[in-house]
Amino acid sequence: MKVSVDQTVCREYANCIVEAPDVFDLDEENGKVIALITEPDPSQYDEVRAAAASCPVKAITLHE
Amino acid sequence: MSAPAAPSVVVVGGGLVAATVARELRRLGHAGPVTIVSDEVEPPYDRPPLSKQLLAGTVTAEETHLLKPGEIDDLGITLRLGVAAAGLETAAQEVVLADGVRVPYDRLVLATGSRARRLPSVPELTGVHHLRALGDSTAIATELASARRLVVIGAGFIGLEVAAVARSQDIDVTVVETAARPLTRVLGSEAGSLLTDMHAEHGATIRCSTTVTEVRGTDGVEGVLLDGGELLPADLLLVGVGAVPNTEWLAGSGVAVDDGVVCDATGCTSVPDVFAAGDVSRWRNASTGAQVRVEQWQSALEQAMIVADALTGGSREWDSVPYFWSDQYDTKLQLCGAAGPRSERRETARGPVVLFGDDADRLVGVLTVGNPRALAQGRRLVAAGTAWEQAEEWLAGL
Repeated sequence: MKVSVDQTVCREYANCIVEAPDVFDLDEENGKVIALITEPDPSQYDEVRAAAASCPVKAITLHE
Repeated sequence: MSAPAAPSVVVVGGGLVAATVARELRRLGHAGPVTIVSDEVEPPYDRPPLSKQLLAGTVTAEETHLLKPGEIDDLGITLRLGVAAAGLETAAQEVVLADGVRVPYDRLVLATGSRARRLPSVPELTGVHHLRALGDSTAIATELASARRLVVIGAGFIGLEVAAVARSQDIDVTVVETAARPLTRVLGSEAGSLLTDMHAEHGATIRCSTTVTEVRGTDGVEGVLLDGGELLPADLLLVGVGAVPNTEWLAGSGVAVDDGVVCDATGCTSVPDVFAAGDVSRWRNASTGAQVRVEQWQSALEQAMIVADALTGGSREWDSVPYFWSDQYDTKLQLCGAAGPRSERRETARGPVVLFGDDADRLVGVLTVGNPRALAQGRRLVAAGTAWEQAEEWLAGL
C-alpha cells in the first residue's frame, strides 16, 4: 500500500490523525495534512483505510 | 473458502450511509447484488457542504456527489432514485415502494436519515426555508444573492453556518434562539457563548432567550414577531430547529423504533437481517453502553462501515467517541465526545479549547475552535477515559 495526500484539498478536519496518528499529521506551518509514512506496514492498513475513508474531502489516496 | 449464493443487499436511503455501505461491501468482497433505493432524484450526496461551501459557491452540486458515475458502474450498484419506500414487509423480505413496486432483499439496510423539524407557527411563504436536501441548499443560495435581511430561527449548527455564509455576503443577519445560549443541548450551558462572541465579531446578532411568535408576510416573508413585541424585518427566513428521524414508513414492520431505529452495536435491528445506520438509527455504543441517536457525519460513516462488515460476516462493534465539526467564518469548531457537568476553558494560541468532565472526574468531551490538532489529541484522551486532572495538565500545555 502506498499513501498520498493532497494538501490543496485538505481542509484540516484532522480525522486522519485521529484514525492513524502514526501515519498522518498536520503540517506545523500551514495546518494541512502530511503523510509521515508513505508505505505503511500491513499492521497499519486498517487504520490507514479508516483515515482515508473518514476524510470528508478525500484528501488521502491509497494505492493498493 | 466456499462461497454460498451471495445475498442481495438493499439500502433504503441515498446519503452517506448508502454510498459507504455500497463501497465497503465491494471492498470486502461482497459479490451479490447491491441496490440503493432513494426518494431523492440525485445519486447519493454529501450533506455537510449544503450549509457551508455549496451556499458560499465554493463547491458545486456535482462535487457533493459521493459516488462518481464511473464508480457506480465499477461497483456494479443499482440505483432506484426518485421513489420513496412506503412500507416494509419483513416476513416476505420486501420493501414496498410508493409506486407499488416491491423490492426483495436478503439483507436490508435502513438509512432514510432525518428531515428538518417543522414549526407549526411558520407558514409556507416565499423566502421561508428549511435546509436538509440539495434542493433546499441551491434554493437558499439563489435567494441569498438578492437577500438583504436574513432571520434564522434556532441557533443550531445549520442555522449558525448559514448565518456565517450570509454575513460573508454582507447580508444583515439575526439568529433567534429560545434557549439562553446557542447549542445548549450540545455544548452545555456555558460553551455556547463562544459562538455568540464569534458571530458578534462578524456583525451577526444572536438573540437568545427569545422566541418567534409569528411569521409575517403575504406572498413572501416580511418579518418575524418576537415574544417581546418587536418586529424583525426579513426577506429570507431559515428555520433550523433540529431534525426528526424518518421512521414512519416502518410502522407495522416489526422493526423496533424508539426515537430512531433501535440497533445493537453492530447495527442490527430487532429484526434479523435488517440493519440501520446514520441519522435514522439509535445504536448502542459498545464503549459507553449508551443507546444514542447521533446526527453526525462521522458516526454515520463509521456505522455504515460496521454494517458492511456485519453483512460480510464480520463482528465489528461501534465503540468510537462521537465527533463532529462545524465551519463558520473560516473557523473550524470541533467537538468530540459530549458536554458534561463540569468544564474548563483555555485560550490557546490557535483558539479556545474547552474540556468537559463528568461527575466521576473523567474527561468526556473536548471542544476546539480553530485547533484541529488539539481535537485529534483530545479525542484519543476521551476514548482512553482520561482522568480530569490529567486532562487539565494536557490543556495547560496546549
